[in-house]
Amino acid sequence: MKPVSFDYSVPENSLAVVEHLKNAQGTAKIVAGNQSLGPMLNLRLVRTNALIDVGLLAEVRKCVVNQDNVFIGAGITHAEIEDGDVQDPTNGWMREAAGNIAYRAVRSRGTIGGSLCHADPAADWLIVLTGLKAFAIVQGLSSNRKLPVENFITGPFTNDLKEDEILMGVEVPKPSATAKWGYWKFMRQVGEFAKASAVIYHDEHKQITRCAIGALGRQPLLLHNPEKIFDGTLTPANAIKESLPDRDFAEMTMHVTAIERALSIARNRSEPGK
Amino acid sequence: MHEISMTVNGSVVQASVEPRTHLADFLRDDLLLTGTHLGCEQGVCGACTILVDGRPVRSCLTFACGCDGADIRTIEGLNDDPLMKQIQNAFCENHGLQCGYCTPGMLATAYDIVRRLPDIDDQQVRKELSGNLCRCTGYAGIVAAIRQVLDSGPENASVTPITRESTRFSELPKIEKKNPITEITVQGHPESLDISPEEITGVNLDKEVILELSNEKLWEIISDLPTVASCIPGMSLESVGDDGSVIGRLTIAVGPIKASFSGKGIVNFNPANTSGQLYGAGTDRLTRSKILASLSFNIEHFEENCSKLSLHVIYDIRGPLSQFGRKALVEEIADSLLKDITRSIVAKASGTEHKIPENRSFKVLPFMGTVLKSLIMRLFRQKKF
Ligand SMILES: Cc1cc2nc3c(=O)[nH]c(=O)nc-3n(C[C@H](O)[C@H](O)[C@H](O)COP(=O)(O)OP(=O)(O)OC[C@H]3O[C@@H](n4cnc5c(N)ncnc54)[C@H](O)[C@@H]3O)c2cc1C
Ligand code: FES
Ligand code: FES
Repeated sequence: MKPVSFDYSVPENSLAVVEHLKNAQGTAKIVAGNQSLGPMLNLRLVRTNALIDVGLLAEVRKCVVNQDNVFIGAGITHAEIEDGDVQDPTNGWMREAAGNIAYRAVRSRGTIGGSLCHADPAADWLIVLTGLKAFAIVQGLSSNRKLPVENFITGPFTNDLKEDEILMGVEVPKPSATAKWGYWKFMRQVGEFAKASAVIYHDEHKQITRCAIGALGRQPLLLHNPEKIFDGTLTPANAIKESLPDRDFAEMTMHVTAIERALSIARNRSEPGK
Repeated sequence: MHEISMTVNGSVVQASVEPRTHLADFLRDDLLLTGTHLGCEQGVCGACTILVDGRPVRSCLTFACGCDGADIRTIEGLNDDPLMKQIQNAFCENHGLQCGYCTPGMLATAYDIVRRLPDIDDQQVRKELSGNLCRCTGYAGIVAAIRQVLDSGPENASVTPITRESTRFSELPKIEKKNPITEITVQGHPESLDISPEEITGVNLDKEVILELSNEKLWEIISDLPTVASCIPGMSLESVGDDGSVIGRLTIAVGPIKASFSGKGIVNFNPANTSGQLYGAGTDRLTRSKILASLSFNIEHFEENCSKLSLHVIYDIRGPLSQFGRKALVEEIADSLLKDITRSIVAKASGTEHKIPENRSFKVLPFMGTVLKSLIMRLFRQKKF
């Protein structure tokens, strides 16, 4: 099946993008890698009057290394992160996650920003960036703002962007050298969207511990008392039960297993990138 | 139409393309390069994989208009490439193809694998191949072919990844306000309902809600179809028959995905034990998706002045929307809808209106009049999503 017909434009800068969005009043959509929008357009699950292509827009294709964090442009592809073409603030954790998204041909074009904006509850970057305590950098017509990734995603397939805003990129803090990290997802088949997933991040030096589960019907869920989950005084099963009562047994088991595996990865590997 | 200029298999091609034309259609229909195959057009099968700027990409998920200035290599353009020759020979020798449908995409993927990952083992070869489906060979021959190339030392690849930058920008377009299509109006009545509730199988969902309403009052509202339908966001009832049949429409949106189901259902009420059942089928003509569902409900007294509504839903989504029918997602949507519906019911009972908050993660499209319909049949339809 083919998409309904639409207009197409390649704006020169982000200002032109937001102006266009503003004029269009909700009838135009940004496109980056087209790896999520494309299937929905082809199936006519989404119909739009215009596409604004930011796939090659210089402002979202850049990466800036700061002292405490790295800004990764929204237009950086999964493959570029996987290959280390841009600096990985986590010394390998993000590269590893990127390499396990979909298939290489999808990673060649799919972007980190597109993934966040699309906000598929089962997507990898949603949970990974939530776990890493990253921020979304958003540009509007007259101002820009910065918000935690967990607030940027507001529900299934829904983000916090206003009609005339663009996601410029994400700011990922650099973990300290002794920080621990584990990410695990369950898929029936390689490259498929996850059925359950979990991350655990423990940075003693910075006093940050986070544990999130993903592939729910909603955005990733940050669990309470992550320190206790990490040190083993709160079992994954009890941690989930507290936040997600009345889930069926099979579903619970998958999430519990995801946390257990993420924990074991985190405990068995010491520094970032190992 | 959009003007583009690109290099296809080494030659410059200039063309005027409709924006919605994807690269695979452009190559096949306009340039008659039919070596690029199409299977699913949703990124899953890999048949359309070709090299764009030296990288493997899905040509079904790449618009031709987005390839201005790009370097495109299809299978036809790799005849003289020593590495591709070596891979093709290995495929021949190892039974790496049978009908050949997947082969152009397999070869593009194989080319990328041996070039990018010369040291991988068979397990990793299989992982890298997971985005290319083959219905014939069982993959063993394909893996063996790639193994043979890796073991004998891959030839040099003449195509390598390059980074492209935009050089031509669009003027800020003048926007003509046209409303996006949100529904297709159907002539006549939706299809007849030729299923029985027993035939509806699929995902099971159980929900319970407590309402601050006596069970008598709740039953009064629920057993009155027009009233209960008006409590369901996005629903409109067209007709209610004497035999319990209802015809109506439900429109909902989840993020950017919008659907409008029209269909028919049968409602049975059992006043003796304040329970009921409804089942039905609905179709979204725009996405050609279909929903079959049944719902049983039961109202019980629950503490003073409160009642418990228990729902058991079975749903089956078919067609393109089915990929959004995963239980976790449907459950999330059902929970939120249920919240709105119960608030509306409670508000209705007390004579006030419950306003559905704007800007929530899934919302019902602006709707026409109020009305009725198989209350929960719609309710479950919403869950479908
Ligand atoms: C077969 C297949 C399997 C997949 N498997 C997985 C998987 O296992 N895990 C996973 O995480 N993902 C998976 N994906 C999705 C993939 O990662 C996509 O690349 C990604 O979700 C979207 O990125 P994109 O650049 O292609 O975005 P697009 O499809 O171009 O856009 C997606 C949405 O984001 C909006 N958008 C894009 N960029 C911006 C921006 N800068 N500012 C504002 N809005 C923007 C668009 O308007 C659109 O609504 C899969 C995709 C396919 C086709
Ligand atoms: S046709 Fe492109 S991936 Fe199936
Ligand atoms: S050879 Fe027939 S599909 Fe692969």
